[in-house]
Amino acid sequence: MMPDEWRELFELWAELPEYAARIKEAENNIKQILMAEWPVVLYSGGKDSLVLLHMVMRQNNQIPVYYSDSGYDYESQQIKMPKAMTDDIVKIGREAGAKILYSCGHKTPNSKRFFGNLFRVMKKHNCTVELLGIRGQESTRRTRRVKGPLIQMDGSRRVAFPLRDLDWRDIWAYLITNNIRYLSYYDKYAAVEGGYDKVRLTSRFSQGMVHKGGYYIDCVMMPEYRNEKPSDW
Amino acid sequence: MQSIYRKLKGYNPPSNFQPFKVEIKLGSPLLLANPYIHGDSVLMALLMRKLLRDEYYNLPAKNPLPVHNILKLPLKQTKGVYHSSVSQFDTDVVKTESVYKRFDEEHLDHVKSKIKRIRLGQGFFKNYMMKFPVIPTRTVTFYYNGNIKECSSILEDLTALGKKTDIGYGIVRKISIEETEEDYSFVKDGKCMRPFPAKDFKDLYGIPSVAQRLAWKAPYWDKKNITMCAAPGSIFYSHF
Repeated sequence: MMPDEWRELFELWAELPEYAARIKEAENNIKQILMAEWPVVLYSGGKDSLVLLHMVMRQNNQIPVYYSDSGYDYESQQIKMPKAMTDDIVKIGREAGAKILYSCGHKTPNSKRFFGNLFRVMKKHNCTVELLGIRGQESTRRTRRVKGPLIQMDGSRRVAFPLRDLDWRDIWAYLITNNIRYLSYYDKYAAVEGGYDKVRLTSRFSQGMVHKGGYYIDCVMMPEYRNEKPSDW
Repeated sequence: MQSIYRKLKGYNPPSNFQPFKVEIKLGSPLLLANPYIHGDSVLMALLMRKLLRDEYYNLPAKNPLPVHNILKLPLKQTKGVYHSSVSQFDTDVVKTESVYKRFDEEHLDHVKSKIKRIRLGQGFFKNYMMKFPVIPTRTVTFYYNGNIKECSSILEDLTALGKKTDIGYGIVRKISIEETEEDYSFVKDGKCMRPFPAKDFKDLYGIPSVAQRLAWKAPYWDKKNITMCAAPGSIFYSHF
């Protein structure tokens, strides 16, 4: 449950004209893409992709949604996304309006086959472009990445970032004002990390994410999942 | 390796046990990579350091010694599990703190080496920032059932608890030991105090409300020691 002071902040933020303008721009971006293309929404369960999913589904809920979770890493024998979290992410996606949602990964050691599964889904639904919930504000690297035309080439892929100009407060204000359920993980970790601006959904128990508050914080915050194995599911 | 084995096997702890409580007052917050510290692992680490001296720092990490079978602690055992609780803190608050590791360039003139260049962007000397969970507790309490005299002499060497103690976290200010009337090392007020195999202790305590995959013997970081355990903090249902 989000603390009242944070909720109030986001509710006040949603009253700003700048917020309304940025949200309108994001919705227009999606509208423009839908006029010429048939996209697939790449959904991770995080706040940004949830907002993207909700915006797209409001315009056309027949657009396929692709979710690939990292599940269990058979190499390091470590859980990367607990089953309970995966189930909740999929459930939240459906609640946000996704009618055609593909959940790939978890049970088999195919978490590395992200693109293989994605391209299969795209081929099945004749999708021409991938919609990603990346924002320029997240990092300088991402600022550079989202610059340029709305639909861009990323190697052989065609990608678009409709939310590229949104602020982190815009995202939370959108979720709060539209009464969209999000992962309870955010509330739990925001209390520890000192704010909703600092929490990010990444793969859990990742040694590679130690510097971003990965492995050690997860070990303390969610010890019940630390030694989870596929045989438990 | 044989000398290590001999030194550890040669330790014979006294066998008269009684329940007691160890209260450790801390001078700085505790940095952890687990929700708790296992009481027997603290004793085991201190005892091993005492017995092995410098060899303690050169133990195999990839294939750890089965210390639980070699070294006997001055603690009571039931079904192979030591009577020692996990750490009890006086707060539920968890915060995060960033730790910065930088290569010490100031004292390079003291180093006599042929190496001319050190990479700070990658490899062993890489500079990094790491986030850790911090528990701002003032006291850490452990419940044991063992030999008080022997345990207190082992705990005398305890200077700090948790991670990153070298930069001042988890500094121990005072250790007080007092006898308790009952043994709270396994269960206190109906709550589980340490991980132990749920299946083996079903007849003694009943079914735990929360069972998790946890290590139940030292070394607790070794995945080989993981089994389905009663989780610390869970309640037992005796009549299911």
